[in-house]
Amino acid sequence: MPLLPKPVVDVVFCEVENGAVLLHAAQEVYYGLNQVGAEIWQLLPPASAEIDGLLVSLQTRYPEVPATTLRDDVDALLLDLAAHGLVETPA
Amino acid sequence: MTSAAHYAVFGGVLQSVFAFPELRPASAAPDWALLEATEPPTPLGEMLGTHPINANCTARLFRTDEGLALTFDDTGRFDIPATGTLIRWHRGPAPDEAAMRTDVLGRCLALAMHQRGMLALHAAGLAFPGGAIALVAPSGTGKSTLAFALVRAGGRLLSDDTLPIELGPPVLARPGVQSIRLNEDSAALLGGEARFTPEVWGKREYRDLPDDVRAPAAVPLAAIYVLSPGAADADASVVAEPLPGFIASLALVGQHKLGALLGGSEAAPTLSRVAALTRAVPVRKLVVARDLGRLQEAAATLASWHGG
Repeated sequence: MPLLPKPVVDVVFCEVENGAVLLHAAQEVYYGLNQVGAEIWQLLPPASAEIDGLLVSLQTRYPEVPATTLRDDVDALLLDLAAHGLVETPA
Repeated sequence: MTSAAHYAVFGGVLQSVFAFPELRPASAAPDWALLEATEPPTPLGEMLGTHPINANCTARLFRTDEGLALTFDDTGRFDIPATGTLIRWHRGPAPDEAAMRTDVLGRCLALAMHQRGMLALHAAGLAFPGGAIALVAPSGTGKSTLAFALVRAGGRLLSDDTLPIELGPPVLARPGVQSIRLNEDSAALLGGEARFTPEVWGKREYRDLPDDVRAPAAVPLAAIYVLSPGAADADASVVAEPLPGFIASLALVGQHKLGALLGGSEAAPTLSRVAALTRAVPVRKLVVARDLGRLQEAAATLASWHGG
């Protein structure tokens, strides 16, 4: 099963109303997350090790959303987080 | 250099051995003291951030054993201990006192307020019966012009450029430097009886605001507006809509007076303060029709939302 990327150690997660802001001070990157994005971030390792576990947790919270939509949204967010240097791909 | 005098600024009092003709005298006990250093500077630690001022001058912020040090290539170094009550100036290679005053009234006092747990927003602030509002926008997007129109609509000016925020509770907006700088077109169209200084770098300044349009003390902050220009022929001259917390936080982090200087290990506490502010005070996008002829109507509408 595919492993999830891990948050980069130096990244700060700051909760705000209906979302969160991530800060990677060394890279001078600020990144905004809406409520679902913030929930996905909090489900990254160590909360979940594999993407399937994360999707099951998310599906429980959002049963009305089709599984394929959830999967696509999670994939897109993880790719964007990686592009901004906020998560590191497992070796 | 003169004997130490007291000046009113940012809702507090600055005691200074250097004259500040742009500030009003004050008699209360000082919140900050500006001194000239008599001892050699101590070593600089972690560099937290840099900000280019112009082609010949860059500002750099460092951590030191006693607090923070802000350096400028021209005026020199300003040490600001962790208490945020003292600014100690080490003269640089071009120690022009007018430039030093600009540095003190800009980034140095913003940093001293940061040391005391406040946020210094690059924002205009206006006080109304229903509380203060902050107008946040990048330079050149009409913040000062709208602030001037709001003064004409009954608001009292807290600040045109740097708005100190105490996180409270309650969240308070403090007065800043109380003058308004407008571009030539806005001053000509909206100025009326106001006496502006001659144009400098495309701007004219309105310094001698009457006391009844200045807010002399801190006011509870009711709302923060992030300005966005709208179509000149929009149906409504002004429209506000709430911003989600993460977008509001990103907008406000980008409008911190100290900007990129507060990087490194100062970035996270700054973000925490911004997040706390967005949780406590509504942040709205403000779309204002880009038409100077409709600006006073927009200002009157905005003022009416806050009891003006």
